[in-house]
Amino acid sequence: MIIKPMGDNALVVYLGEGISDAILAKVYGLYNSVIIASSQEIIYSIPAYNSLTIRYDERLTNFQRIRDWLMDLSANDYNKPPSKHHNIGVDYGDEFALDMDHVCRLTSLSKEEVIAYHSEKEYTVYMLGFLPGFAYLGTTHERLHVPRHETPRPHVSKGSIGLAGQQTAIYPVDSPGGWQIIGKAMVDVFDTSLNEPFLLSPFDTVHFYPIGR
Amino acid sequence: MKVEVLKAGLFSNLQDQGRLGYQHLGVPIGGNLDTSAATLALHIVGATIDQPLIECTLIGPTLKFDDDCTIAITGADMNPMVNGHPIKSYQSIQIHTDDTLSLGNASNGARAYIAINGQWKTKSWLGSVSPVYGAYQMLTPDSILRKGQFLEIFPNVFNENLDFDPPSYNNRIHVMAGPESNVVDASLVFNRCYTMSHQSNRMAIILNEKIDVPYKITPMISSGVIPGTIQLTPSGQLMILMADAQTTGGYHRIGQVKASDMDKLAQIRIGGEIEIEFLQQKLT
Repeated sequence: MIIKPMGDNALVVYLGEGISDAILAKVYGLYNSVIIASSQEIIYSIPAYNSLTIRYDERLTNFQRIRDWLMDLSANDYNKPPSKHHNIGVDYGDEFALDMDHVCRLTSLSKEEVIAYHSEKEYTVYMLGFLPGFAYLGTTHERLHVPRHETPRPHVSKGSIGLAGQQTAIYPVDSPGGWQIIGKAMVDVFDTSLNEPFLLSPFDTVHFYPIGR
Repeated sequence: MKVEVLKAGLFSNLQDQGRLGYQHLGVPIGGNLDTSAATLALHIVGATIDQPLIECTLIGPTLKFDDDCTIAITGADMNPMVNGHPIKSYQSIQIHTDDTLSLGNASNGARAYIAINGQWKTKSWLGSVSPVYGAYQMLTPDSILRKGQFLEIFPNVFNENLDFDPPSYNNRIHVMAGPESNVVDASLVFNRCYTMSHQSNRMAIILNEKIDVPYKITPMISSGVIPGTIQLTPSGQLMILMADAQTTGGYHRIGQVKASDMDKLAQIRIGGEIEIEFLQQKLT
C-alpha cells in the first residue's frame, strides 16, 4: 500500500499497479472499511481502478493521522463490499449503434462478431465517474479495444452503450461523449424517481445480452 | 412568497453545500464556490448553513418580491440596489412587498451571493439544489435562473441587524504537491503568474499559459480528483478543478490548491491574473 498526499485535505492510497479484479477487490474492501468506520474526519472517498482517494477535513486532522490510521487497517480486515449481478438487454440495432460500422472497420470484425464478443463476457464495475452513474465496465475482449473519438460527439443519448480502450459503459444521461456507440441498453441505469437512483454500484457485475428484433 | 426573476443576469444559479458522500457514484460535489461568502450571507439573514442561496456570476439578476423578507448580499460587489437606491452588502436588508432588488456588473470579485431567509420550495436532488452540469433540467429545473421564473419561498423575517466588513480579495493562491507532481518540476511550474481563460466555469478554471511538456508523460490509470486538483493535459494545459468537476480523471494531478485558498479562486474573473506559489508540505 502506497499513500501519497494530495495537498492539505486529501490523500491517495494505491492498492496495486495496473488493472485487475484482485486489486479492485482490495480497493473496494478498503473503501467499504472506511465507510463502515464512518469517521467524522473523512468527508468522502472515491474508489477507482487501483486507488482510493480520500478527502479529509483538514480542520480536524492531517495527512499523517489519516495515513497511520489506514496503515493499521490490515488488508485482512477489509470488509468485502456487497455487490449485485445485472443482466442487461441490449438493442444493437442500426438506429442506436451509431459507431458500429466504424468499430467493425477498426477491429476487422463483422457486426455479429462485435455483438458476440461484447455480450459473452461478464464485466465488473471498476469505478463510477465522468457523469452521475457512469460506470466503467471492464475489461472487454481484446478484439474490441478501440480508441475514443478524437473529437467527442456533442450529443450521445441516454442509455447508449459505448466502447473505449478496454472499457464499455452505459451513458446514464444525454451528454457529449467520445465513446464508440454500439447499442442501447434496455434499462435505466439512472432513474431519478427512485430512492436509489443508480442501478450500478462499484464492484457489481454486468452481463449484456442481445435482444431479439 | 414569490420572487420573480425580471432579469436573470449572466449565470445566476441556486447553490447550497452540495452533495457530499455520493462521489463513489460519479456525482459531482457542486455547492457554493465561495463558501465563506455564502456562509456569511446565510448567517446575516439568520438562516441555517444548509439553506439554498443565489450565486451570481459577473452580472447579477433583478428580482421582484411579493412579500416582506430579510435578505443579505455578500461576495463580489455588484452595486446592489433596491428600487433603484443603492444598498450595502454584508448587512441585513429588510425587503418589503413589491420591492425590486437589482444587481449589476461585478466591480470587485466575480461571484456574489444573495441569501433570502425562509423555506425554499425549489426542487432538490440528493439533498441539494446545486445544478448538475448536463442534467439539471431533469434533476433541478429551478436551479439556473431565467427571466420570467418565480422562486417560491416561505419567508422568515429576521429582525437582528448584522453588519460585516467586506473582505478584500487577492489573487495569491498556494499550491501543494499532488500525487503526480513528479512528472514536472513543481517549483518551476507553480511559482509564477497565470491568467484565467474564458473557457473557465464552475467545473474548472483553465489557465491560458501552457507549460512545456518536453517529453511524453507516461499515461496514468484514472483516479479520484477533488476541487482544487490541478490537472496537466498532454498539450501542457493546466486545469484547476472546481466544485462541479467530475470525480475521477486520467490527467496527471500535478498540484493541489491549499484548501483555505479555494474561496479566493471563486472570485477571480475571466482574464484575471492568478499568482501561484508552491508550498512544500512538511511530512514526517
